[in-house]
Amino acid sequence: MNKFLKKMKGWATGRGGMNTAMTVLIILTVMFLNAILYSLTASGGWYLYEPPKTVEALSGSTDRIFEGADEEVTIVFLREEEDMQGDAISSTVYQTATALAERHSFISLEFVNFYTRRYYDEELEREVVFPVDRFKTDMRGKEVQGFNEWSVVFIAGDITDENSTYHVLPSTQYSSFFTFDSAGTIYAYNGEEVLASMVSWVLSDEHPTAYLTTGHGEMLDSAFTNMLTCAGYYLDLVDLSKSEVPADAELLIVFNPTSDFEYSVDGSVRTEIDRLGDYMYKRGGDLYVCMDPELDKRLPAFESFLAERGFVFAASEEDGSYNREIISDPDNGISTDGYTFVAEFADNGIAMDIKRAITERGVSASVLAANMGRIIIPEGSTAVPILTASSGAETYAGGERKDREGGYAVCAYNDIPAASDVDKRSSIFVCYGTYVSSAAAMVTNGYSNKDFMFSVMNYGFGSTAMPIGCVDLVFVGDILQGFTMSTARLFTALIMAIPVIIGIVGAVIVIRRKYR
Amino acid sequence: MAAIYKRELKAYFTGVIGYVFLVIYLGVAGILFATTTMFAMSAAVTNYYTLMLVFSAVMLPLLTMKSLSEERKTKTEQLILTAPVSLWAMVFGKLLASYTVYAACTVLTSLYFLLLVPYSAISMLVVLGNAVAMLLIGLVFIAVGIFVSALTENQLTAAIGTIAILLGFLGIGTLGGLIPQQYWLRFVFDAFSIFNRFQHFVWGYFDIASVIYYISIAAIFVWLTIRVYDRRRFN
Repeated sequence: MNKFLKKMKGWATGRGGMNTAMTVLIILTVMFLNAILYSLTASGGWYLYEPPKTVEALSGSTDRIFEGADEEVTIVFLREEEDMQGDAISSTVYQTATALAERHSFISLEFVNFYTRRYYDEELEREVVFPVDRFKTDMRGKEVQGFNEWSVVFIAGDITDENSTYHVLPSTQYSSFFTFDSAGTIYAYNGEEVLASMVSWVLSDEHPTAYLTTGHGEMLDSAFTNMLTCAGYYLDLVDLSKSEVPADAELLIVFNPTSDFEYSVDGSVRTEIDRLGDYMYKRGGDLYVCMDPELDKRLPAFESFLAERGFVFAASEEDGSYNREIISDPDNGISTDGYTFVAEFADNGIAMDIKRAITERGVSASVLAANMGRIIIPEGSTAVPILTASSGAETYAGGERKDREGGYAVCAYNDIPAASDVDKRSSIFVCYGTYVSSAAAMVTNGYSNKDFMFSVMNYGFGSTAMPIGCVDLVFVGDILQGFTMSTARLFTALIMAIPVIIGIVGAVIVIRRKYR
Repeated sequence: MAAIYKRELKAYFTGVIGYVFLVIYLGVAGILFATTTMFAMSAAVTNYYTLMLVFSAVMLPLLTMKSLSEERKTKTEQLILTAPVSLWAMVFGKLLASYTVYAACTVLTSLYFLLLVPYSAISMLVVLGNAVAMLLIGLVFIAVGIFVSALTENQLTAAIGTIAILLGFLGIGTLGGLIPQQYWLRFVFDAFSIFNRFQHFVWGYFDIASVIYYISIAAIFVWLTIRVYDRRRFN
């Protein structure tokens, strides 16, 4: 041991030890200085260049949305204010929230450290503890999935009052404020709309729950579920093969099923169709259905269920091949083949109400549709079309033209009586095409697909305080305009030719050198 | 230093390794560019540069694994250590030679975005910022590679060791997510994560603090490499 200590002492005081100590000291100093610099820049950022701010002034729609708001609302971010300004996504959300609070005096912002659970109370002039744990469950008592430092809490009234109305917007890196395309790239920013709808939510007394069915291959678009959240719904899933429609369900959504619902021929077993029927008849439950006209098979039970309620999906079956009729509307077409077109509002009360809800807010009621199927409303049915193709439209199935009458319904609505002891009617809205409520359609400039969906939720199902007219900022700069796949292939070939040429030249040089 | 630089650069292209690196790097970069932009109908730089960052962490060690380990293996490092060339010149010469090959690839692949200018409102300043960030990070990666190469005479060991260190540098930021309660520790991991700092550039911000960080990390590893050879010289 003494020998070892002597050796260590010799090393430490010798040249090797001094050099090592100096090296370690220099490294630690550099790292420490970098950490200091990082903490200094986290508050403001030392940016030689910043991208142009994508967040413009608010659209002004919130003036109407918040008309008559009579209660204080606090938007609580679970990150410190300096952190919010440290990266592009957070700073974008921060800017919108700040602008909203400046425009509406009843809205204030708080920034709470999620881990220390403290924030600075300006009235008390000291740090106070924020009850973060309270917001891990929503007002129904259900756990908020994904509750973390990126969640945003909206509170009406005193933020420390245990009885105040609140809503938690869970998110991962504020993803709830953005619309993503199918590749997961940010497509648009919906900050004003999301903040406005959440503030409206806590000011409202109605907080309905929408259930989305599972077990039939349903593939949900995140833009659609975000729209439902902004429309004021709690969202949950239900598997009708295992359970009844929950008692708190105010809206049931069947979104793009690819397999049929269970049914019983002789009624001996309680099935999904039975549960669906009882939900609508015995409780006056509302139903939203989105079907994909490119589905190459019939769903006999489910489609029969809808047919009884006034909605038949036009299709043909030939030589064992099942093809649904898809609408081509060249008169209103955006694409040359007419499959992408601007849908028209039907001439009936509910369709006009839905349209007026959009136009009276200064937004043009222009709904973009693509690859839509034809809904046939049987004679004598009380169902009505909401969106239609023009009179010059045609339908095609299996590559063949099937009909030329035009004026086809692509979205329809029905309002049917429930049991006599139920004091509300059951509403059904059917959209025969997934594009109308897709991310691409709902944020495309110049069209009002999202406002249309909000209006449907409002007039069709009674949801309130829709954020109609709020601005979606589309990151058009990132989308290639006028770029075709053939151009992509040409450019790819040019790019890949470079390493190929280098490889060939290199091989020639190396081989020649070897055999010189 | 100039003589060493020229010799090293020439060595890349008299042998196979330079051409292999160029073909693989440009080939993969081309595929990534095509799939993340053109075939995705997007001019966003985010996905491309993020993937290139991870790819560079795996590719660059192949460029640096031979730089000093080969000298040690063939016993030619004695010539270098006794030559009238400072250790700084030796290390810098080798670093710059590797860096030249890498920088040429990075600049060329960044020019691919010019193809998209007629079809989008892409900001070439953002592309420039990302390219500069990639060049700085490449400097760090090469400095680490040369340091690890100085520690061993086995090229494979040098390559694997370098990849491990670089992936550690990239992944250190994710450790913060595993310890949410320790706020100060998360701050430390975020501050030293190459990947987290790179995100600023990806989003279009040219962050001076991150530039200083990258240069200082590269300087540290160059300094460590010189320390290693300084010890060997006197042992």
